[in-house]
Parts: sequence; structure tokens; C-alpha cells
Amino acid sequence: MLGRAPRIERARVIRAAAQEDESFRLLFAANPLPMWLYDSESLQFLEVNDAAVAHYGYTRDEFLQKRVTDLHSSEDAERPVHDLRRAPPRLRRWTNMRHRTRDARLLDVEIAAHNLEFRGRAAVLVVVHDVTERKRTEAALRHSDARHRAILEAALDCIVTMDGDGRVIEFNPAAERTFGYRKRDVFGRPLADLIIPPALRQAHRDGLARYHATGTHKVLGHRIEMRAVRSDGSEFPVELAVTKIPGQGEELYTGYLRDISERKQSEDALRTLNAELELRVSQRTAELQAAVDELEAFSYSVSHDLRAPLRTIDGFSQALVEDAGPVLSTETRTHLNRIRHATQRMGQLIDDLLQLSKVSRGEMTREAVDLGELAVRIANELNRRSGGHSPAMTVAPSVVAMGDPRLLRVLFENLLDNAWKFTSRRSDAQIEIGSVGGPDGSTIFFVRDNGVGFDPTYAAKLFAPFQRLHAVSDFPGTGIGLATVRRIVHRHGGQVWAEGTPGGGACVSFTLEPARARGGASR
Amino acid sequence: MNEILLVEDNPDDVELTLRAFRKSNVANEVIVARDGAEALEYLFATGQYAGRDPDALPQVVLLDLNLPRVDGLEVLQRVRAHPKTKLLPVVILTSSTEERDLLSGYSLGANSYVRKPVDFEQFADSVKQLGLYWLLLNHRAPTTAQD
Repeated sequence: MLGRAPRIERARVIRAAAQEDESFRLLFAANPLPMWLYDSESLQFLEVNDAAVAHYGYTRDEFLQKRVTDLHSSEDAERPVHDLRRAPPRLRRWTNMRHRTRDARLLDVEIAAHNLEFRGRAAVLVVVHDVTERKRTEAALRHSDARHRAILEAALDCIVTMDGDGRVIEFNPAAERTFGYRKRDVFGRPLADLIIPPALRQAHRDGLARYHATGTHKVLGHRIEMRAVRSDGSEFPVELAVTKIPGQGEELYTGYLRDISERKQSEDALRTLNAELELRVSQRTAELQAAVDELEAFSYSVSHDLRAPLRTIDGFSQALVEDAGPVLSTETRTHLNRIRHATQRMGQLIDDLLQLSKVSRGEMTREAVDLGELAVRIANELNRRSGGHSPAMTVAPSVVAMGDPRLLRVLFENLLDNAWKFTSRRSDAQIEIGSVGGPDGSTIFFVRDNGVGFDPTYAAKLFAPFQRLHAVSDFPGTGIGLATVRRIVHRHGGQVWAEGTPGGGACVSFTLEPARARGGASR
Repeated sequence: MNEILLVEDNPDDVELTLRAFRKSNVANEVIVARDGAEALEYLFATGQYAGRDPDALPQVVLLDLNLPRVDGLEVLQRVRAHPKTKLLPVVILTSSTEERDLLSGYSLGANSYVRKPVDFEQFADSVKQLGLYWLLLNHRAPTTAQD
């Protein structure tokens, strides 16, 4: 009984196999998953399907020369082969296995195995599920998660994420430090109750409700500043940006918050400083204005009060000459005339000083002034007054300057008055007005004459008030003209200088704009 | 009726002005007011001039600006504000050439503005021209021109 039974059983199996041979081969050979059969005893491959050949790169013949352990990766080589010989015939699975292909690639595989009899031998049928791609994706995901985690952990800004209901689902270490909560303590709690100051909570809830109801919001995508509260109840200013992160199912909201207490303090300090500066500037301005007012009052008083006694001296000296003329000696009359000349000269000095102070005061405008036309007008006036002395004047075409018309008129009155004066002894007097380009690209204007000139040793002294290089008896003047010219030039930001030689004429040159830095000099 | 009102606090200038008038043969009587208040009393016949005929106005007023008590610009303002005197010829005669004085003088209705030069001859010349212009050439607006 016992001896026959297996034979009968075997015959039945073989017959069944023969009957189903074709469909079995189809199921096996055409299966898209790699499959093989190996001998339970020798571990030798007995059969492999086309998918296995394609997947592992070995030909069927090469497979049949191998044992199943030849596929194992070196790390799996030592693992014992699962002995299924005495195991009951049922499906088993192994995961985390690695196979080596013919070209030495490692595959992550999961194995489903079933022991059965094949061609009269105890065999194992294996179906391979290649999970290399899935493992790779999982690893990439793990890496991405780790990166995400690392960013969250290391971020200096607080990163807080809440779900659609406003409950905290992320609270990074910076947030823990800033707000004084532990992540595990706040997880799942409404954000509004934690970091939003009590006074603003209702507005937050209303905003959230409105957003859910209508989709309108004031927060998303904007950088806003608001107050926040720490676990100990203290409030501080934060800068906040919120983004919506589309998730599976529900949307999440991540807020990036930054404690801006220090910046606010700096801003406040800056504002205070600015206000103080503003105050100081206005104080200084008031002081300056007071000084200017005082100066004006002084000039006004000079203009009125200093001239009055001079008028008296001059007037009564003249009266004396007129009334007592016949009885006065020639010498006495000369003395009286000297008194009158001195008072008139002092009157002129006062007038010139006043003009000097006037050119320093007052608003300045800048507009195009035709210096040639201006010079011609002044020259006509000088010719009328100078009793026959009328130098030949050459004006270069289009000498135009940007400056204050009133001040430039005073400037040219002084320069031309000098030119007329110092050429008065020449019958071939010549005066030239023109402009040349300076080395820094600015325009240099000049007034040149062929008069008596001056000793260049004293060129620098010419522009100081009351400095005269000629005796009053030779050429009258107060020595204030060129000081006035210099002040006008300086008010325009320019420079003035004079060149000359004794008997060789003089040339006064000036610019009307600040010197330009050459070659983009640093400053 | 043809007098000149000279408003001047400096006695030297008064003397020189009178001398200049004499030299220019200006024979009109010259009334001298030593400050702005006195000038106003004369023009409106009040104070020390209370007995004066208030309708008798000078031919011209020569007005210094820098005056004690009431200054020249204020005198001018009061003169122009009053219907009786608003057309009275007023010449500002001063040593100031400050633009602000010129501007306020003209904007307050001064008829002319003459600077007193240091040189007496020029001064005399100015006074002479003033006399000729205001006393001989300029027909005064009728004093009845009140509105």
C-alpha cells in the first residue's frame, strides 16, 4: 500500500503535467516577470523564462550552467539558501534581496517562491519582483525628507506650518527658541492660541474663516509685520511671510517668521537720531539766520549811519569854501579839498564794502548769461564815464556762462572797471574777453588787458580786500573790487586767478563751477 | 501853501538841505519835522500842530527813512492810508540803497526815491532837481480828490 501509493500519485501528477504542459509553459515562458525553477538539492537552475533572460542578461544555457546562489550579490553570498526541501508546499516571500546581473549590476528584488516537483525532482519555482526602481525612489524621498528636515532644523527663521484648521503641524527649533514652546507641546494645537497676541486672535480667526468661505486673504504672498507673543506672554515684533503648500487632500500653510525686535530698536534709534539731527539742524539754522540778520542789520546801519557824518563833513567843507573862499589862503583851500576828497573816498569805501557784503548775501539763481553782451553794456557805460578813454574791446563769440545774472553783472563791472583804469595811460588800449576749455573740462572765462600789469609776486594778494598794488594817486580805487570778484566766483563754486607782468598787461581768469575730479578720482 | 515838509532827524542834513534849496533858488517855505510822529502831527494838524488848517497840505514831503519814534516807511503808510493825503507827493530821501528799502518804499507808494550822496555837490544837485520837478513841473492832484 505504502509502496504503491506514491507511484500512483506520481503518475497522476505527470499526467496532469502532460495535460497542462502547454498552458504551464505559456504561463511560465510568457510571463512578464522573471521566473525560474531550481533543483532543491543541487540548487542548479532547471528552467528560466524569457523575462529572466532579458532581465539578468544570461542566456538560457548560461543559466542552466549556474546554481541559484550564483546570482546572489557578494553580501548575500553567505546567506544560507532557504531550505525548502522539507517545508510544506506553500508560497513564501523574501524581501530585501539583491541579485547580480551578467553585467554586474545589482538589483533589489523581492522573491516569491513555491516548492514543487519538476520533472520528477524536488524543485523551487521562483518569481522575481525587481524593486530597484522603487527602492531608489524611496531612498530619494528619504534624502529629500532629510534635506527638508535639515533645513527646518538649521533655519534661523521660525518655520511654522499649520493645517487648514489652523492647527500646528510643524514647529522648527528656531520657532521653539523664539516662542519658548517645545514642538511636542504645540503639535496639533491652534496656532492662534499660541503665538498670536490675545488682542489679535479674533482677527486671525475671522481672517481664516473668511479665507475658507470666500478665498480672500490679506496675508498670503505678502511680507507683513505684526506683533507676536511668547509662551511667557511677552510680545515682540515679527516679520512674517505665509505660503500655501498644496498637499494631498488638504492644503497646508507655512509661515516664516523673524524676530525683528533688534531691527525695530535700530529703526527707532535711527528715527530718534534723525529727529535729534533735524532739531540740531534747525537750531543751527536759526543761529545762522540770527547771525545773517545781525550782519544785515549791521550793513544797513553802516549804509545809513556811517555815511551821514561824511555828508556833514563834506557838505560843510564845501560851504566853507563857498562862503569864505575869498578870505581863505590857497593852502587852507587845499586842506579843505583834502578833507572833501578823504570823505568822498570813505564814502566810496563804504559803498564798496556794502557791495562786497551784498554779493555774499541773497538768493542765487543759475541761468544762462551772455557774458559778451553783458560786457558790451558795461563797456558802453564805462566809455561814457571815462572822459575819452575808450579801449578797443574784443569779445569772443558766444561767451555764455551759467550763473546769477545780478552777481555776474557786479563781477564784470569790477573786472572791466579795472581794465579801463589800468589801460587809461595807453592810447592803443586793448581789452579781450573770451573763454577756453580747462584741463578738467570746465570752462575758463578771462578778461585780458594790455595795461600797466602788476608784479606777479603779489598776484595772490590781489584778491584780498583793501589790497592795492598801485598808489591811489596813480590809479584810484578802494582795493575791494577784486575781493568782490573772488567772492562772486566762490559763490558759484569756481576759482579765480590773475596773471600779469609789470607793463605787460593783466589777465584775470575764473571758472563758475566746482572743479571736476579728473579720471573719476575717488572720494 | 507852497511849503515843503522835510522830515529829517539829522540837523546837519537839515542844514545842508536848506542850503541846497537856497543855492537852487527854491524859495518855498521849508517846514522841518524831526521825526515821523511830528511829521504826522503836521500833516493831520494834531498835537503841536493842532491849530493848523488841516486842509493845507505841503507841496511835497521829503522823507528820510531812519527816523526816531515813527519811521519813514510808517509815515508813508499812514499818509497813503488817509484819503486826504493819499495823493500827496512823497519823495524818499535817504542814504540807504538797500533793495528792501527801495522795494518797500515804492510798494507803499513813494513817488520818488533819492539817495543822499556823500558828495555835497551831488547832493545839492539832487535837491535842486527835486525842487524843480516837484515844485515846478509836477501838477499836484487836487486835494479835493476824496472818494
